[in-house]
Order: sequence, then structure tokens, then C-alpha cells
Amino acid sequence: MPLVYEELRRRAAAYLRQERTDHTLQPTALVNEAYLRLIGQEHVVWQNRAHFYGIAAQLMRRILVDHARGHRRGKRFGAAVRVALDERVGTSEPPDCELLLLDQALHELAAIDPQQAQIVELRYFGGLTETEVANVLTVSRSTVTREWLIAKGWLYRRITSGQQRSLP
Amino acid sequence: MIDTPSWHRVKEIIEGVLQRAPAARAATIQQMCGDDAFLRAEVESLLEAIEQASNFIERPAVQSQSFSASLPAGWIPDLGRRALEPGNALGPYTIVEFLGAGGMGEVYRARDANLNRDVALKVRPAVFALDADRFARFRREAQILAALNHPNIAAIYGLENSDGVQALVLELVEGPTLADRIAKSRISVNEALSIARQIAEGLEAAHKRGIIHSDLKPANIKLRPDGTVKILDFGLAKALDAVDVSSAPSNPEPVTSSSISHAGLIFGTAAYMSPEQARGEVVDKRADVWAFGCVLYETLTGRPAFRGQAIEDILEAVLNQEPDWSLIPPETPADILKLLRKSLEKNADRRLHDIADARIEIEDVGVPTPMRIPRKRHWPVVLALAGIAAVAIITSAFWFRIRLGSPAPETASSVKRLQIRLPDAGPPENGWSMPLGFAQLLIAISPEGTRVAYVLARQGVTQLYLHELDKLQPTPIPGTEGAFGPFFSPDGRWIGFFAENKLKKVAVSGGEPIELCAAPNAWGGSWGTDGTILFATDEGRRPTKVSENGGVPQPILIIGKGAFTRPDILPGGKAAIVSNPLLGVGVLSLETGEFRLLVADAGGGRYMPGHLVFARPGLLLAAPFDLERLALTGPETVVLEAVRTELEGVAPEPQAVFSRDGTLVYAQGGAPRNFTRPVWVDRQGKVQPLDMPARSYRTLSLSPDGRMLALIIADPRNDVWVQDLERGALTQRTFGAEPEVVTWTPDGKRIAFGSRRYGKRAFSVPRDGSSQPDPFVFGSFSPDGELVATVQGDPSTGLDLFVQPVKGTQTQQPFLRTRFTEAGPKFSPDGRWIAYGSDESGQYEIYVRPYPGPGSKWQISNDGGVHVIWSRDGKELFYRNGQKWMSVAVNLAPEFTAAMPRLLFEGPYLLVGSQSYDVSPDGQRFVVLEPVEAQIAPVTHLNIVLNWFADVKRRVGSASVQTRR
Repeated sequence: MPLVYEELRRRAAAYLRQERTDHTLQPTALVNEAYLRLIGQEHVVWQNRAHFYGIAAQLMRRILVDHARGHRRGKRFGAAVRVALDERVGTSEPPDCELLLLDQALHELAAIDPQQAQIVELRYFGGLTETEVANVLTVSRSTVTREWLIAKGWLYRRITSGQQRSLP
Repeated sequence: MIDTPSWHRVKEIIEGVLQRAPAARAATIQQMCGDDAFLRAEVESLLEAIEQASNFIERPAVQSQSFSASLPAGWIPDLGRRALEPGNALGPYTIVEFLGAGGMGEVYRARDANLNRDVALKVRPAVFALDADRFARFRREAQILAALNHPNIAAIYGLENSDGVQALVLELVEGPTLADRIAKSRISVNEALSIARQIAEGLEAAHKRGIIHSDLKPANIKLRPDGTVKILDFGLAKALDAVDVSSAPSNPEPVTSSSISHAGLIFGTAAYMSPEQARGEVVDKRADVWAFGCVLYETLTGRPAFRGQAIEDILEAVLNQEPDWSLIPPETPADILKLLRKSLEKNADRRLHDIADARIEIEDVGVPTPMRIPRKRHWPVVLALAGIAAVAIITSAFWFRIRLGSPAPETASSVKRLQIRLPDAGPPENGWSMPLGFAQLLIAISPEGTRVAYVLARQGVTQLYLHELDKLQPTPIPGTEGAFGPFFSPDGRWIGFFAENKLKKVAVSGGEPIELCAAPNAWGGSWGTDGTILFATDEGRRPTKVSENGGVPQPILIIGKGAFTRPDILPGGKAAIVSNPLLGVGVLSLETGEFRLLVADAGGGRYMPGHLVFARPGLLLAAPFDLERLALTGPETVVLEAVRTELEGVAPEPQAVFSRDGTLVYAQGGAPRNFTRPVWVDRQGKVQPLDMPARSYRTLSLSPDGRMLALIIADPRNDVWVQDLERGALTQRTFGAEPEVVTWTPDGKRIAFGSRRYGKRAFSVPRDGSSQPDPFVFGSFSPDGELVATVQGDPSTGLDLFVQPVKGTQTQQPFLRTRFTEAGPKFSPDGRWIAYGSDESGQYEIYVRPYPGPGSKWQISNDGGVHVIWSRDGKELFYRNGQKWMSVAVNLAPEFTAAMPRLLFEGPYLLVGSQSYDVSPDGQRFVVLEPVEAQIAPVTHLNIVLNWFADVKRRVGSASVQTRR
């Protein structure tokens, strides 16, 4: 796992450094590729699809969050934003703060509603569609739609209110 | 203690409510929550959040790093640290509650004990606190702002600085912000105009006193319950900036006080930022007029005038796109639409100059009258495009003024020749050789011809330098160590290059280089106008496309075999000019993978309108070229002499590039003649020269008994020669055979060689005696001489390893076929193993596999390696890693084991072809090729020829006339 993580981190970092955001590669493809490259196809035996996608999404979350932490350590708040004003917008630091906040909020959500947290992880970090999430978790598509909606609202409120207004 | 409602219950109710039609939801909440006020509050709060969160985190994280665009305007990350808690005192103020975080810090409601009123306190987070000096200056700025007294401007009462906490004391305005109001429901045209009029009045009053807001946006506008509009934070962003800019030189700390305002600004305000602000220019009151236009547009339509998922998309829209005018409600008066257009004029000089005019316009409209149904008009877009074109023309005209004094007509007489001196860091040594051992292109010029990038070396490490041609000195580009093969993006704003076996790009304007994808052993790249980069990896064997934003590289499936280097994408993007090192310059179809040779024995092909430019040693040539038919339509002509070209013989790599407008940049010097001489080096690195003159020796092979040395000498064409090491006689064994690689048969009776002539086939000549080469096989012979391990190319898998019998008709059997490049197979002395090189890890490493297999592989080298050779006793493997010769002790039986690589010696010996050294039978000495001092002057200048195309056309034209005669 650490090897894969290292490889993935490197690849994801390459993605994150891009200044445009319209690329379409799925994180799962990224993970899959990393695995194949490192371990070789013949050795990877996934318990099931859910196992694979779950790990992929988890890894992406870890990578992005670590990346964001690294950024916060490496740069001072604001410096990058100043740069942004002379045309190089996009790689600034504040989004990393957002990501850390989301990660933290997602931990809290997992404590009260593990399935919702899992759906968010698969959709937001794993880049899966609602149908794919439904297949992975073997629940109905409408359940995913509904839970995703509520989870988003919960996280949004948690992040924007900045206060613990909800349940512990 | 109050019971908190259970999540299960909350979720159940929410799910129930969401299934109902919106109109029935209130009743459902009522019904399901009953009189449980806490449950009801929680449900309503969450439902509200669900509604607001419709766009939140919809795009996967890896595709969109920022979801801030889907968060409320003015929101900044709440890092969970509060400067103050309710009950805390700050001077005469007591904190009542936290209101929110805004662009300039946290906002609290506080009680002013002296005046017995509530105020808003804006607290700057401690990290951004101003020092005493700057605080004093900010105080003066704030005093000017505090003098603003207008009913539509929220007043600044003062400034508080106690216990290290700095806070602005502001008028507390009750009511929602305009942003909240817009989000809540549609605003009628009448109401919108009433709000706009008040905003205009406030702005007008401030502008009269010379104060501009510079951060106007819906989140900074409050709507009091009584209908009064109040503009918040007037001039604060600018005041902070002013404090900051004036103190910047004496302040080494990069995080400045304005950063925090900018932080908020960039989040909340990108959409309201005028084009001149977005470009970082100095702004005046017209920026407020722009923002006013944005606010009015948004109030009328409910949507921001300029939108985007990410900040850069928003700014792109601000700079280059028109708002969607069709969203303006049809009942909007025509004059207001006109006012909007004049306020949102991108060119500040043509924008509505005075906000008072806006106020008058709104007042004049009075009762709105219906206007024509607006259609999406196209002329603004056309005008915008025309504007861009005009800017481009002005820019290039300006450039011409700098360079030539006046725009020049395209005649031969206007051709100008200049020189730029390279800075103290010199061009890479050793024939500008790059990691591959092949020379690479080291110069690039931007398409518009205003900037040149080149590779220089300092202490053996290359780095990219950017030379804006209107400046005297280049600047090194940080983070580009190890760079080679630079090329510009079509817009001239990026430089693509290779380093560390990766394709990277770096912005001309600065910033860290961005890694795009792996590009092992790359040889040239070209950036297409469609946003894809075509580059040649694996020494040209795998031309590959990748998006300029990175992603998964798409190899082009080549028909047939071969290497295609230094691509130059042709207009239209369907084909590229490429160089095949063994054939010459031709066209590679990017759709079918087909290669067609255009010019034999040439390299460095590039397209110039109507012509193909290519190189022969020391020369640039051109021939008329039909872009439609992709064919030459006339004879070739020399168009430039004494050009530095790398690699002797075929496919010379010229150090010459030109821009779209015909500016040529090249290194002078002609073709190098890289003379070498064979020397013995012992295991400690001690050198003992052979008694042989310096010549263009290319590669060599020792006979099995160690008494004869077969060499390839390029003089000027490659041939096989044999040196008798005991008698010291050198004899030529082939004449015009053009061998590339050479080896002895195990019995030492014949010399086998692979030739690039006759369709890359293999031949052999006897050790002595004169006879023509016979068709044979080439590769590593098994000890009994029955089998030979060879390298074959395959369009889909690149170079692979095969084993075939030396005699008979039996065909070759694949030994190792992967999508990676395998090369240099060597049978072990016992014939049971094959050592080889592969780039499967991203760089060439040495591996050993059992023959005939199956079985697992062993990695022998640990930090890169090529040119593996077994010791005759089978106990040692030798390989080289750049200039290091390594030894690995191995055991072949009973099972294979290998020790760690051990350094034998280092030396700057020639690295070329597939075998650059050989080992004596006793394993104690190595024969290598030592470069003899270059016969070519080092490059110290780059030559520039302006309007070079005119010169090319003149020369090609007169050549065509001559042939017709």
C-alpha cells in the first residue's frame, strides 16, 4: 500500500499542478493505472469492485488532503493569491483550506452517518457517478441521489456556518 | 438539558419533505415536527443548506480543486480559530456575538458602552495584523473614509487596537445583504432599479471626494428592512493596499496586509472585478462603474454577469466574454440595458465615466416601459474579437518598432542579422550532448518571435533560460534543471521541455514548472494549436500526443517500424514533419500513423509557409512544399551555411529554429567532427592509450581472443575496420556498407554487423581476406554459436527481444515482448541467461532473465544502466551508467544471485549506439572511446535573422528558375 500511495501521490500531484481544471481523467483510472504499473496486473486480485473503488476514493482523499496540508505548510496564506492577480490564478492556497475543512467535516459526518460519508468519498474524491456509487454500495440509485443531497447540505452548512450547529 | 433531535429522525423528515412538491413542504414540516421546535429548527436549517448546496462539491475533487465558487460570496475559509469570544472586551466594546467571516477578517456584533449602541467590529486575524507604523498610516486612511457621511454608505466609526487585536469599528447594518436577497427570490425590475439608484448615489458621493470602493459586490451591499441600501467596506481594500504598497520595499515579509483583502477579494470579487483590475493594473472610479454594472446585472437576472467554476474561469470570462444579455428580463427598459452595456464596457476608456450618469439614467427611466424582446446579439462578440485582433496587431507593430525602427515590407533587403551573446553559463559541453548521448535541440523561439528560450549549462547541469528579445539579458527559469528540447506553446506563453524523463511546461510569466506526463528518452516536441503536444519518447520510437494540461498520453500507432524525432505539427494538426534518424525527413500522419519520406539523409525538418526547411551537416536547406498534398514541389536549395548541427552523417540535428513571422535563431558552427581514440582503462580507471590516431570511431567490439578490435569508423560514411592489437595494423573490412553495430561470432572467424542500408539488415565479413559482406544475423550469439538474441521493433510494443537460430530457416521466437523498450540482449557464457536493458521503470535499467524461460527477472542495476556485458567467466556483469562503469558480481548456479552494483571507474568516454565499450577476456581491462578535443568552436552567441523567410524565398525562387531553364 505505501508504494502505491507514493506512486499515486506523485501522479495526483502532477494533476494538481495543472492550471486548468477541465481534464476528465477519473481518479479511479489514475489509481488503477498506478496499481498496474506498480504491482503488475497479474498480482492484483480485488475482492470485489466495491473494494477497489473504495480504496481508490480513500487514497485520493488522502492524497488530496496531504497535498493541501503540504501546501499550507509550504506557503503562506495570501501570497499565492497575490500572485493570482497577475494572471496566474488557480493554484492558490485557499482551496487547500477548503479541502481540509471538507475533510474534517466529512470525518464528523462519518460519525453520525457512515453511509453518507462513504457516498461523498466515492463521489467527490473517487469521482464516481451516482450510478457507479449505487453499484458499488449495492443500494438503489435513488438512495444515492437522496443521501448525496442531504450529505452535501450537511457538509455545506458545517463548513459555511463555521459553528457546530448540528448534532455531535 | 435539551434533547438534541436524533439524526435518524431529522433525516427521516428531510427525506419525507424532499419527496413533496415545494409548495407542500412547509405543511409537511409542520406535520412531522409537531411542536418540537428544536427538531423543526434543525430540519429547516438543513433544508436551507441543501438548497444552497446545489452546486457544492459537484465536480470531483481531482478535477476541481476549489469549490469556493459554489460557496457564498465573500466567504473565506474558517480555520476554526476565533479572535474573540462573546463577553470579551476590546477597548470600550464588548463582543456580543460572532456574525461571520468576511473579506477582511471576522465580524462581530459588539456593544459600544459609551454611546450605548451596537456596532460591527471587523477584526483582522493576528497573522495579518499591521505593525505599529503601518497601523498609524492605516488609521490616517481610515480617517478619510470615516469622513464619508452618506445615507447609502455604512459609516466607519473608528479603529481599535488593543492587546494586539486590531479592529475596525463600523456601523452595524441590520438586514440581509444583496447577495442573500438575490439568492432568496427574484427581484422585480422596479425593486432592482431602486436598489441600483441608491448604490449609484452612494458611489457618487464617495467619488466626489476622490474615494473609490474597489470591492463593490452584492455581499458588500446591505438592504435594511426599511428599504435603505447601505454600501459596506467602502474603500477599505484600497486603503489597505495603499498602506501596503507604500511600505512594501522596506518590508521583506511576503505576506502583506493587502493579502487578506485580496484573499477575500479574489474569492468573492473575481466576478465583479473589472478587466483592468483582473490584469493587475491601477484602477480608478471606472472600476466601481464596472462593478456597479455587474451588481445591477445580477440583481436583474439573479445570476452573476461573469461566471465560472473556478476563479481562473471567472477572470477569463471577465476579460474575454460578454454577459448573456438574453437573461435580462424583457420588461427592463431599453435605456437600462444600454446603461448596463456602457457600464460593462471592457475598455475602461469607453466605459460610462461617471456613476452620476447612471444615477440620472435610472431616475429618468421613472416608470419602466417594456422594451423590445432582446435577442442574443452577436455584434458585441464580433467587436470583442476585432478588439483582440487589434491588440494583436498593435502588439506586433510595437514589436517591430523596437526591433527595426519601423515596420518593414517583406523584401530581401529588409533581412536583418543580429547576435545575442550567451551569458557566462555556457552551452552544454560535450557536443551539447544530452542524457541520451544524442544531441538535442536546445533553442526555441516563440511563434510571434518576441522571445527565445535556450538551454545553457552551469557545472554540467542544464537549465532553461528565457530571453525576451527586447531585453539585453536572459533570465534563468527556476526549476528547469536538466531541461532539453524546449518548444513554445502557440500563444507563446508557455515553454514545453523535457527533464527527468518527463514532459513539463513552464509559464513564460513565471511560476513552477508543471509536469505533464512521463516522457522517457524524449527527442523533440511540438505544441499544436488544438491544445495537444506531440512529442517523441523512447528516442523517437513512440511519438505520443498529450493534452497541454497533461493527462493520459496517447501514443500514435505507427505503421511499420522506425524512430520519428523532433516533430513539428503541420497546420491543421493532422500530420507532422518528423525526422527519422536512419532515413531522413518526412511526414508522419497523426491519424493513420503512416510515414512518408520527403528528403533522404536529412534531419531537423520544420515547416515554413510554402516550404520545408531541413538540415544536412552544417547546412540548412529548403524546398517548396505543398501543404495539401504533403509533397515537395521543387528542388532543394541551401538557405543557410555554417549552422551548428549535431550528429554526423544522417539526420543531423540543426540548432536552428524560426518563428511564425520568420525570425530565425541559430547557433553558428557547422557540423562537429567528434574525433575519438580507443584507450584501455583498467578496473581502477587508469588509462592506457592504444597506438591509434584520433578518428571518428563510433563503436567497437573485441574479438573473443582479445587480439583484434573491430571498429566502426565514420569517415565520412560508416564502415567496418579491424585493428590488430598485437601488430598495430588497421584494415578496412567494408566499403560503403554503413554498419551501425558490430560484433564477433563466438568462434572469432567472422564479424557480424547491422547496417542501416539495404533495409536495416545484417551481414558478416570474414575476419581476414577480402570478400563482399554476406547476409547474416546480428545480435548476441549463444556460446555455441547456434542462436542469436536480437532486437526487433514493433509498432505496438516498441523494441522487443527475440531469439533465432543462426542457421536454417526457422523463424525468430519472441523472448521478451512488452510495451516498454528492451534492448542490448546478451547471452550469458553458459547460454542459460540473457541480460538486457529495459526502460520499464521509466529509465533504462539492466535486468537478467533465464533463457529460454519461463522465470522471473532480476534487476541488476539500481540507478540506471545501459550496455550490459558479461565477463567471460560468467561471474560478473558490467554496465555503464552515464560516465560510470559498474560491476555486479553474479552467480549463475545453482541459482541466480546478484550482488549490489559496485563502481569500477568513471570517465567521459563516448556513449553512442548500443555498445560503447568492450571488456578484455580476463575482465581486467576495458576498451573505450575517449573523445578528442572538439574540432568545433564552442557556441558563445546565437545569431538572429529577422525576416529570414524573405531570404529563403529569394534563394528557393532562384533555384527553381535555374532548374526550369
